[in-house]
Amino acid sequence: MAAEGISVVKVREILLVTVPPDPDDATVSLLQEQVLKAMARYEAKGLILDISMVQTVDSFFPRTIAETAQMVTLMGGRTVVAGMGAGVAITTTELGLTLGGALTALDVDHALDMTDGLTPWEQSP
Amino acid sequence: MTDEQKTREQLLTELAQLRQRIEESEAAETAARDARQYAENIVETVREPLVVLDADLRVISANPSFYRTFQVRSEESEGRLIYDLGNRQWDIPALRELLEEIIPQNTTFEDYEVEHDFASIGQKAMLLNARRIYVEASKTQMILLAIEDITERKRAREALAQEILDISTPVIQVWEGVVVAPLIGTLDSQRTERFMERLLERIVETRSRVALVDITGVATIDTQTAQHLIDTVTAVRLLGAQVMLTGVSPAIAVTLVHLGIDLSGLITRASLMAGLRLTMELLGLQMVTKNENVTSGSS
Repeated sequence: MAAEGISVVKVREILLVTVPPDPDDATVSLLQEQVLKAMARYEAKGLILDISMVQTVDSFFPRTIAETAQMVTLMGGRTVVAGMGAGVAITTTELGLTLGGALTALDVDHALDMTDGLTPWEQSP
Repeated sequence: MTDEQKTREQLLTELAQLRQRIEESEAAETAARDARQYAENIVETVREPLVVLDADLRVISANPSFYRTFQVRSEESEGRLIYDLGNRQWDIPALRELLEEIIPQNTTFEDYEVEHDFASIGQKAMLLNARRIYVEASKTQMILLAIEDITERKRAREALAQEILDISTPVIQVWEGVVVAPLIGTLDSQRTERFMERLLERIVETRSRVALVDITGVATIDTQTAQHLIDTVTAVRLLGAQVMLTGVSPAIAVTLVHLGIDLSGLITRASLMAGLRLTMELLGLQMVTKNENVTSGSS
């Protein structure tokens, strides 16, 4: 059931993933797996994680996101986390967690602007 | 005859003296009655509930305000232990401490705050004033207990504090994608928490890429407050927005450096104006003085 909840959409050179509301540990792990598979297949230069539907999180979620961002970086892409809600931001800060190397954006629009801007930066290393 | 006359005269003088004494004692009695009535009237008029207890903590009398406020009747109260009044609702540990330990030692006590949930009248916050009186005539002790009902006042004060909490953290959108949050007064954890929530919510609502937190109105800053601000900045970044701390006064700058608080990860500016100017730059906006009319007029 969780597997159907996640779709990795390739838009030009970017992967777009919409995280379902209330993601449990299994869903988040599956998301990571799917994203990495897609990265390998398309050699995308960026990943946008749209988490605007996510209302509540535990400590596992931000940690896995940070981890995924790190893995995506290793595979040559940048990660942008888009649309985090105020509540989620507060929880994450209170838990003392960060998103590691992931960038943040207000929404997918903003994130696409950022990945556009990243192009030269991404291609140089 | 002379003897008789003398006796008569003596009797008459004694009678006069007796009359005078009676008059005097009547006057004294009236004065005493007046004094008592005067005292009683004062007690009855006083808006605060007053209760007089004997040495064994039994109720001698209480004023109408006491009966009205605590919904007990005089006939069911007088002569009974204060703790037994109104279904033992006065059996409050704090009151026991006051009457049994503090009063015997100190004679008087002022503004002793007690909170109690009364079965009949609900939660009440009270200030108790007590005084031990020694009665010369009967060689006994009495305790005068004045109760001030501060429930309303306390509620009003709390409401006011809440109001201050609410109004003191406005988050204003000043441009597309720019919000300004002026902070005023001191920042404690509770206020910062609310401020953080509001700021984050408004950033999401207005899709703002830049949030200016202006601390011109903040008199002093301590380590804890600085940490709260850093947390807020961290949370805002998670949303995908930037925070600028503006209005850093010389005094605040000195304090921050002396406390060893590292705000290097944060964009700070001395004034809100400088912050706005930088924001415009970040958003690729430019403000130009509109002087075309002036030039066209002169040419």
